[in-house]
Amino acid sequence: MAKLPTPQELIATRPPFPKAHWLDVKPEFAPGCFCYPAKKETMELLHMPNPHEWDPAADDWGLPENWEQVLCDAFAERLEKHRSLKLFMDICVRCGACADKCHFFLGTNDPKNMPVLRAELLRSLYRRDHTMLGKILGKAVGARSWDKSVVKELFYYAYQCTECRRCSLFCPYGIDTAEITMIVRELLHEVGLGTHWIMDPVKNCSFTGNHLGIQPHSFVEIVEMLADDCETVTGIRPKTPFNKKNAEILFITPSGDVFADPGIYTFMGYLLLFHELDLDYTLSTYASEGGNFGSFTSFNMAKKLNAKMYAEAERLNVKWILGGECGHMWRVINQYMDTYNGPAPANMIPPVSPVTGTPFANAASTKMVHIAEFTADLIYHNKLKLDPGRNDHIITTFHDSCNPSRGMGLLDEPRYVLKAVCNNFVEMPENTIREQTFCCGAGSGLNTEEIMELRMRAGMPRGNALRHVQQQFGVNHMACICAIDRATLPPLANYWAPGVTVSGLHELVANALVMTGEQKRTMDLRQEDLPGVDEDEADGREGGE
Amino acid sequence: MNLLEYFRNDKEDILRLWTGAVYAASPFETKGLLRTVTDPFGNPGADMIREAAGALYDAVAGEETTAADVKSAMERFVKLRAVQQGTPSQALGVFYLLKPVMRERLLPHCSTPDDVNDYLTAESRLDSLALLAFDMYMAARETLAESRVKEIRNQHAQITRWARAFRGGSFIAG
Amino acid sequence: MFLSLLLVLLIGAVAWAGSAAGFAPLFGVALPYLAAAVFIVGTVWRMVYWAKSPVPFRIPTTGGQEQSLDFIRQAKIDCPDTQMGVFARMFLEVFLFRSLFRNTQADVRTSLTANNGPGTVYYSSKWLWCFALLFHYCFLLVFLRHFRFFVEPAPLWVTWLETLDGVMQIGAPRFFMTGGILLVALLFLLARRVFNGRLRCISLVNDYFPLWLLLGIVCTGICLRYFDKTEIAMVKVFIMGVTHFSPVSAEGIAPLFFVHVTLVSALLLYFPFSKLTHMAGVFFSPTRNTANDSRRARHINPWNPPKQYFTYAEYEDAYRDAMAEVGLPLEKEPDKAAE
Repeated sequence: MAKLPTPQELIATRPPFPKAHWLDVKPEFAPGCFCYPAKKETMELLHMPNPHEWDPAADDWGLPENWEQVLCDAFAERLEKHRSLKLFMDICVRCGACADKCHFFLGTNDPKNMPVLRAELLRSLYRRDHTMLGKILGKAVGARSWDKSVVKELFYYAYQCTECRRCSLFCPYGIDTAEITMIVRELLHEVGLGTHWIMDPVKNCSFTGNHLGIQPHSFVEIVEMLADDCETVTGIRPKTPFNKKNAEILFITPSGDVFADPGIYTFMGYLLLFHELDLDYTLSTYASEGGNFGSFTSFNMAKKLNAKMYAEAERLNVKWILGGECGHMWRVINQYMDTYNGPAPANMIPPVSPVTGTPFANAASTKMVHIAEFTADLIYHNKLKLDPGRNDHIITTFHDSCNPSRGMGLLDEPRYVLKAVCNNFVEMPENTIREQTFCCGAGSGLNTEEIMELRMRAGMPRGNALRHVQQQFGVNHMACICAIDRATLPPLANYWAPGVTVSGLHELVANALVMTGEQKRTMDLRQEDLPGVDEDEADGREGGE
Repeated sequence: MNLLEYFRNDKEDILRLWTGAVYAASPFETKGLLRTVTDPFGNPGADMIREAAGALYDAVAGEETTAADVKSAMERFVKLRAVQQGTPSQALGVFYLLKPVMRERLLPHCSTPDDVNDYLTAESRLDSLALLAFDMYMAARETLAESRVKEIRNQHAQITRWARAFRGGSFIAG
Repeated sequence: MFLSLLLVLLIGAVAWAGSAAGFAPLFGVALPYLAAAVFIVGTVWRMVYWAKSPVPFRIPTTGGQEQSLDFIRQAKIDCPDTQMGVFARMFLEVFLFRSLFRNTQADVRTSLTANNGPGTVYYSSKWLWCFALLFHYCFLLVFLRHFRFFVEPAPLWVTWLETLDGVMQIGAPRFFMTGGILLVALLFLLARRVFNGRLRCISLVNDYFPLWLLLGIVCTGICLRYFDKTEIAMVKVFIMGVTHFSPVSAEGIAPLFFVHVTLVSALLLYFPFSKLTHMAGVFFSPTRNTANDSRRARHINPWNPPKQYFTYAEYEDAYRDAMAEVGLPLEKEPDKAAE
């Protein structure tokens, strides 16, 4: 008789949780669990230390000779530079409050994805070199030495954290895993370990100004095409001012919105809104990337990429900068920009809305305003003619992006705008929104397709909440204010809550915006027919209104 | 008492044993979490398995239910298995863990050939459901593969259009 | 876990044997002096160690709506933009463990799945908040009650505290609630680590040791008061001697007292080198103690490296012709740049 494994035997071949202490368990680099490594040329071009070819699945990662010294020194240096790091290494009591707050832990059930253990990976190394008890008692008090498998472990888990800070909200001491992850990634970059999906955009943003490395003339043409599309939908071709000196406002948004579906519709939304307001603004080809992939690399790289914003604002002699919808871009702008590259150039003034006259006092120093703040203010002052009925075919919910929520506090402005442009707005369950929002599962440079399964696992808590409102209220749309979300939520929604579309906030704004001299709208910005528009009227649209 | 009644009587017990077996096959850490946190948003994993377990059991027992209902109840669980690490057989094998439990708890009640016949029919229903799950599993994997392709395409959607309009002309567009 | 229990028992046994063998001054006088010195110097040193590293960035974890437009209501405490707000946030954090309190799951929605019948257990991490709060406050009150031994005559507030604490009027000597609650809370915190698989996984000796130590202190303290009834007057004279730097003879005091004192000393000695420094550390935490005003006021990073970036001039040099082709305004026209 043929001997076949029983189902129990089959399943048992999936390794059970090892009895060994977590310090002794090492991750397995199976395909789908790690991002592809950065190319050597990319790292060289960016002057990153120790560039080399390597493969995460291989045994030998080709670390430099003196890798341990490099890492120890780099760690010691970071301790001197960041009080947060010293503190977070010292004061964790391992109460476990953070454990089930992490979407990666909820989705993967890997114990080391509990924020406390993710930090403990580094903390165990800290104990050996920087605490008295660790020096004396070693492993007995949870200290361990560096070895190559530890480096691999750090890499594995530093790229299974989206720096969303949800755990930090619940930690009684405010220990921020994002801070630890950022520093671990910095350390790894010291020995030449980076991922392609982060370093390639970093290179492109640095040298061409956008994450795909599209050259300026092409960039302009692509934007022009979007303006043409705007004309098809509205009958009005919005202006696309580029590199215009002495404009009042410089507008910077993630370049993903220029290239990627469905971000492009949000970008069209911006163009139409600014056109309708007759805003004196300019886009820039040089500083055309708002998103900052450098912030997933190191503080210095973030500073380097961010520096272009003020440099361009100075060169173009603008008064202030308006920033588009983006997640980590706003973490950098809100918490780092002024410190990195401030003070703002002398030509800039504290921002004031040219339409309503409202001063944005909260941005007095960075002189950079979030578009949701800008638009909410417009709507509050009745400066926009809106027909929310055009969005009646959607029942929308709102996904708070991690960084604006927990690194900025931008929660009610987008809701204010959304409620004004959509009649059907439903919140997702209470503990999955606002400051407690769940990540899309692919932030901080993890939005690459080779780890799609991992992303689906990590995004499961978000998908679950979305499915809940889909079933309960018939939600068929999710608005968000993050370019990465616009790229990562569609597959997530398609997997966990099929039938929900994803868009940026300003796509909906432009859909509802009644513009002066526009033709009758029969389709939305995606050129999909609006339901409920009379066929006869639709036929008559050729001749305008 | 006919078999269906035995099925009904033992539902709680058998499901407990089955979910226990599923937990046991999951990494250690899953167990604690799945069992303690009952909020569907705080502990999505446990919520999914519970939803699937109830519907699956009723269908196996032969309760009035439709394929669509069972499918929708099992969907999230299968989708979760489809993105977890492991082979497809490991992902779907969990359904067959119900058999030994049923054999232990229900088969002894089957004294007449009719009962045994009913019992075998029930097991066959489980087989069909596992096949149904296999379809769903494959659909989920297809969705993932499609997402990968779509994502790459979407990243450059506008560039492709631009390339067609300005550079490639009708050649690419055609 | 057992290792740390053994360690605590060992410390206790040594203290017992030592004091019984006539080394009471060592355990009752020398050790407390040393422990107090190490505790103070060590904790200050730890704080200085932290303070030596700058806070390069303003990184509050915002727990609510930011201050922005007039018609949008700011969460003044969870997302403070003023020093007052930060003070309120820190106050709630330190005195009421706000973040742990937040640690709740919203109501259990079993309605999501029709087959998920009633009777689901409501698991809420408020238990942790509750017992953590009980533990810390009772510990504080017990500590304050001990002032009866340090000051002569006992201050009025200590008497009030004792009256309040013994308000249940059980037993003689009167049962103090705080001692009992402290014991229960400690047992809860320990049981979590032992019985919850997730916590067992993350717990280290460093976590069990202080718990056993505290349990030892509380148990010996309770014994001294209710069971092994120590001669209070003598103990007070002895302690007053120690606190006034003129130690008196320890003769006649039960060895258990010295076990208690030794365990407290061990705690003080251990404190600065352990996670227990969270008591001081929480005040330093930049995600809590900074205001979310970094767009309104510039925060300075003392080690801010010089700006290095791909400048516009370099950019234009790289793409000048292409830019000219689409009519982008240039700093230098192609023909001039070539010169």
